[in-house]
Amino acid sequence: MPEKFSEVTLILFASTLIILLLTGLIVVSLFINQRRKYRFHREKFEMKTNFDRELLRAHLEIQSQAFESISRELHDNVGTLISIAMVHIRSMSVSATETEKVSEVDGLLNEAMDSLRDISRSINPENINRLGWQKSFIAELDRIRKTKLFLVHYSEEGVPLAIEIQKQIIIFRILQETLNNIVKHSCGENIYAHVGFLNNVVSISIRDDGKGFGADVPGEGAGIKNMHSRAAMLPAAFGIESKAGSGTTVRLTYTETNAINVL
Amino acid sequence: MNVKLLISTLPLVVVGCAAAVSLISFRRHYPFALRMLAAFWVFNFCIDLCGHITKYYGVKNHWLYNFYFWVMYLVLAYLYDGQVKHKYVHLAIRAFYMVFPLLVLAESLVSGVSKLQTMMLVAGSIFMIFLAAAYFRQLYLSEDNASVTADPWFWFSFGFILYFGCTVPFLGMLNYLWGHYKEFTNFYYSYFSNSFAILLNLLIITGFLCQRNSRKSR
Repeated sequence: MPEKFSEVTLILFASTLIILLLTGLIVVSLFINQRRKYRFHREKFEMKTNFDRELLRAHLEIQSQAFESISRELHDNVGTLISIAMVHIRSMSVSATETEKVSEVDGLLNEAMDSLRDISRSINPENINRLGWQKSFIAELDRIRKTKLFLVHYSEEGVPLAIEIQKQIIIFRILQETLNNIVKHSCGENIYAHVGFLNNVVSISIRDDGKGFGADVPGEGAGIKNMHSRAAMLPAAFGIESKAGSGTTVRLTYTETNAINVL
Repeated sequence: MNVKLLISTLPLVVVGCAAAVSLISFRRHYPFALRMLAAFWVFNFCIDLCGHITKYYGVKNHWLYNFYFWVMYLVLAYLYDGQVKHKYVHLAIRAFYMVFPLLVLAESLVSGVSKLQTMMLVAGSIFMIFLAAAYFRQLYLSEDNASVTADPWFWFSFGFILYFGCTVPFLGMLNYLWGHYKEFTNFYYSYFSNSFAILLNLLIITGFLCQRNSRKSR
């Protein structure tokens, strides 16, 4: 560069330098803004998730209270009425020809009382608290077995885990809804239920040999939606597999983070 | 091959690389704007190659670069018209399409086409800086959460703002500098102007390689 350093070169270098700095500033501010936007979106998403979870929790709490109240009413009110009716029938002095009829009515009332007690137990959350989800589930299977509509096959493997009581209620409600769906819609003959415990993972599968569903997926039903929402709340992996004519399998896999094995 | 020739050839090699990358990443699923820019970059390489050949044989080639810059500004303005979603920017581009040819015509009549048209260069470069800045503003205000580094037009705009911003003071005064400070002009052109051209092409390559199925592109 043999020529003398002049104002022109100074202007040229200075303007280039200023433009370089300005460009750098713009790009850096763009990156900072991008990071801020990303953080804002993440916070918004977390807030929405927390809000949804709280909403679902409140919904389940209300539902649980309603179940408890219905269970109490069935047990204390309807149950008492049936008991009184049974006492009255047993204390009646009837002729020999009517004895058979009275005995039949007594038998029916007895059956109604048993069913009432089963329903009351199955919907009462306190009962689930007391027995735990697994025993409540087995009791639910027994109740179906008693109806003689299905042959129930139950199996389990592994060492059971201690799960937080609120989560046990959620797990049981999912399984209960699954069994209700099988009874209402499957038109099958067998129910295969399997519960597996491996390390801190609980895998539950319930399969039926009913009509299943193909393209006509009942995905929009409130029951299935609730099952998905409940599974998301645990959180647990939940899936329904079905083919028309080949039955339906429902799988629930839950990982307990603070697992303690219980026997 | 001497060092001076090597330094002057390096930008041509990088332009060639950018054109090759743009062609390699020339996919059918690419939006129209990216395909057009890829095609333009091949044209850019051809012009630069012709420029180097004519320079090697001592033929004055300013007319070639005048033509190149006319096309470049018009093509880039057209492409930014599809990228920037702001009505005033669209209006500015329409105005540019009306004023720029008049400016080119006026300068061609006054100075001729064999001399580098610095007025046209300054006006065009400033408008390109404005368009790139408008695109940055759009990214800044966008609600889109996707990373800007995955947007090809972020890299292109970064390259244009850097290249036009840093070369416009020099190119604007090129005729004057050529007359008064020939050696300095040669020095600045070889080391600085070419460096910015290399940087622009590297950013163009980055833009083509970042492979975003850009929603902003049309």
